[in-house]
Amino acid sequence: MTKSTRACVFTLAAAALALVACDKLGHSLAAPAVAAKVNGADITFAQVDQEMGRPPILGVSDHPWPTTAAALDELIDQELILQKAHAAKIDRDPGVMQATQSARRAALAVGWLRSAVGVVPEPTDQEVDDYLHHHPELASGRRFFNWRLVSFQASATQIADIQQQVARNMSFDGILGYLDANNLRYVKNQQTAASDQLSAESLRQLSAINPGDTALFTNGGHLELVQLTSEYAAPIDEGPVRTLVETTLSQERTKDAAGARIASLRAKANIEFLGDFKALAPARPSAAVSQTQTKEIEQAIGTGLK
Amino acid sequence: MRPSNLGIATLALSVVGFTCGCGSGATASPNATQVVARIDGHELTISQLNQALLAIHAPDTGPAAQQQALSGLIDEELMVQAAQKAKLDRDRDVMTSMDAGSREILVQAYAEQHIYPSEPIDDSELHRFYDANPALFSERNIYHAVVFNVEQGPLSGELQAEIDKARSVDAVRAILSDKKIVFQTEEITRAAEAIPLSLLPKLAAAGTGDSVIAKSESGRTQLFLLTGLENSPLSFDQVSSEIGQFLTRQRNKAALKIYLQQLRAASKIEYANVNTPGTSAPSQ
Repeated sequence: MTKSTRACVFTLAAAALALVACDKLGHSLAAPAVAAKVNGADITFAQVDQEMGRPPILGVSDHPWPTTAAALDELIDQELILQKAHAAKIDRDPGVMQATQSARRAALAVGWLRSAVGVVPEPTDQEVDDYLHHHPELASGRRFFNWRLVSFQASATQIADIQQQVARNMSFDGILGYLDANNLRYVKNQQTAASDQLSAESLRQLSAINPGDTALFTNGGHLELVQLTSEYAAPIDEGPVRTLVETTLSQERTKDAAGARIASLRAKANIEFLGDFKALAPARPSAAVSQTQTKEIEQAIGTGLK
Repeated sequence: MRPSNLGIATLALSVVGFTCGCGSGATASPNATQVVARIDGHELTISQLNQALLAIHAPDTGPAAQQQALSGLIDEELMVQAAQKAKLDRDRDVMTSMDAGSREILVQAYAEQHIYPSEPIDDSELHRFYDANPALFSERNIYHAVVFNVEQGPLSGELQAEIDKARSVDAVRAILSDKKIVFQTEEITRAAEAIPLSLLPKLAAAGTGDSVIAKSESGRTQLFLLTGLENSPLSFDQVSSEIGQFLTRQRNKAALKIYLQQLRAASKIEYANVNTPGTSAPSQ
């Protein structure tokens, strides 16, 4: 699809946003612009715009994703299958009906959250400076780690054995010998990552061991035997990192704002837990925003859909 | 321990994994209509809770998982009620999102029931794939290399020959510096499956000290100098399930592509006139 088509879509998207604003005032009746018709069914530019913001369901277009052409192809393919699904009365299957209802509710909930959160203020230069100061691993204090790793499962006794071997500074390969002797299945792997690519927990664990040393970690319920093979300083310029920090700060702010809006709904609501589920009532109200919802809001804000 | 993008997350939209209620994951109780909670008079049923447990991929139905699922369900109910009060269900953008959500469920349900082959991948096919890819499985290596990102397009035959003779990082560095070619180096360690499939055969055939051109395009060449190899094979039993999933995905995609080609040919598809004829040509 050429630039002129893109511009056309962009303008229409902007118009669609204006229409949404009008709609909120109760004035919008204009028909959405149609990008294609599939056996008489419309596919609108608004759909094309939204589709580009998520991974494709079918993903068989020859165009690269996410482009307008690929999103339009995807929607045409979806519409073709949808028409077949209606003809086959799949939409009357009770399981499918329940799932579609859930999907519609989730989209409606995200729609509310998007409008309730609105536009979060952009982080200031000072806030970005402070963040970088507290997270030297992202730029000035960035380090590179290489480590050997095996993941496995073991009994409590075996874990205690391995911990003792680690404490006695037995080598990584020596401990693998113990795993072999006890028929514990594992896959050897080698990983490399810079400190800015690691989770806070992984960074803490790797920073705590010296090159050559072996440690046993429990991550997400899995046992991981790790040998740090090398580690070296790899500082990078703050310039490009600042944009990423701004994104992180905006995400945190969005998540906080979303949490606050939901907490406020909870505070006003009358929530009763029934029967056996009374035991599930939280000690105090909590607003757990799902990661998906947060991402969707961030996405919405990122693409300017307010 | 895996690298993650925790600090600097990408804003990829992740689609909620709604199931069609036919999954074999965690469920809490057989009585689907039992009410678990009431939110401002609106009832949430055990059936909804079960669906939420599936959506969060709860490993069990213990109190912690139930509480997490129910908490998310309550939040969603509160937001739905607030959205309805604000008449957001009549907002065009929100309506488009809601339609996209149900469309996804219907499309996936139809594809699973009518397009994707239902029989499991044959055991012999799994073995064939395993045997055909020794570099990934039976002869899997962990590769230690220094990557030279060279700011020059395809290297001349003469330079390539000189680099081939150099067997160490310092020697390659010296050759490039001599010729005033700008480059950056990066030390990497990658298991076979983390290497692009197009590059893997070349690395698998190389030995320590060998150089391999990873990619070369206008103004940029990436050169791998292998500094070490660690043999770490995977047995068929260790990977048969992953191979099965991979082959199933491939087979489903191929079936979908053929199905859609036929469906498109038998359908009437009209494109809006956007002043650029042919730009929205259907992909065949």
